[in-house]
Amino acid sequence: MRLSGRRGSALVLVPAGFLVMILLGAIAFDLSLLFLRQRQASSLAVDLANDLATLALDEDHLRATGRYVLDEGAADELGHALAVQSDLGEDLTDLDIDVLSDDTVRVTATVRVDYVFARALPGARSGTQVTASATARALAG
Amino acid sequence: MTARARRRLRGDHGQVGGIEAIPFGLLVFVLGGLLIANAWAVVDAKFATDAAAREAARAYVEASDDAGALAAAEAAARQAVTAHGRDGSRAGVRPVGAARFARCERVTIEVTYEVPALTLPLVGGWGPAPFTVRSHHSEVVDPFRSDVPGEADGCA
Repeated sequence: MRLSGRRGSALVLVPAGFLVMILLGAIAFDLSLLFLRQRQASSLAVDLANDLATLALDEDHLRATGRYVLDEGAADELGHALAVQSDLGEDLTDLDIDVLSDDTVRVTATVRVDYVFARALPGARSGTQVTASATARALAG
Repeated sequence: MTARARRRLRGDHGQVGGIEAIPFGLLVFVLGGLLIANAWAVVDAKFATDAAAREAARAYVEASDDAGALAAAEAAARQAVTAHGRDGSRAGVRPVGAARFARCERVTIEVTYEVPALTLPLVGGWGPAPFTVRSHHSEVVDPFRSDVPGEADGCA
């Protein structure tokens, strides 16, 4: 008699609810990690663009013609060198540096994000990638 | 509460089928909650140190002279940490290598912040406590700004 019926069975749902809470907490944590990496990628792109807008100047061209022109090859080389030495150097999966005009450069950084808790879930992805882009223009004065 | 619901919730009929799951679930919940809270504290501190390192490097390269550059960087870092709701005076701010305030010089600033960590039963610790959350950030002193020592020639 004591074991028959469904009376009291709602209690079993309580620990299941706890597990759901933990799972939601883990998802929230992994997403916050994703947001952190997105901000880091954005910072990296902004700073690289800012540095390259002046560092990649083609000095020979400036002396010969008086025009401010960015050197695409130098921008690419310098950008990669600076990025590798940054905090995100090991997680950087792609870095595009485009000289858009004589004085404007655009940097697009792609960074790998490794999830912490999602890896424990069967079928869930172990990580993803985030991309951030920034453009800088050198201004005289 | 209706009479039917009162009848249904009275007594402990059927509890034996799942009562053991309650303490187990509670244990998992407490441990999991502490684990996530611990990990979140580290991520939150990382947000703060990242922003602080970025602000510090920016303040350094934008400073007007060598004497004030490091002090400006340190002040900017502590302000950024405080703005994230943490104790700015607990942050460690230092340049990586010998920071030189000169044209084309690459300056890297490291910001550290200690986060207390819990050692959880069954799960264990995450290494030596407290955690030291560390971020660095680099910037180059503008080659073409005025009043900065050094040569821009051959900067790249």
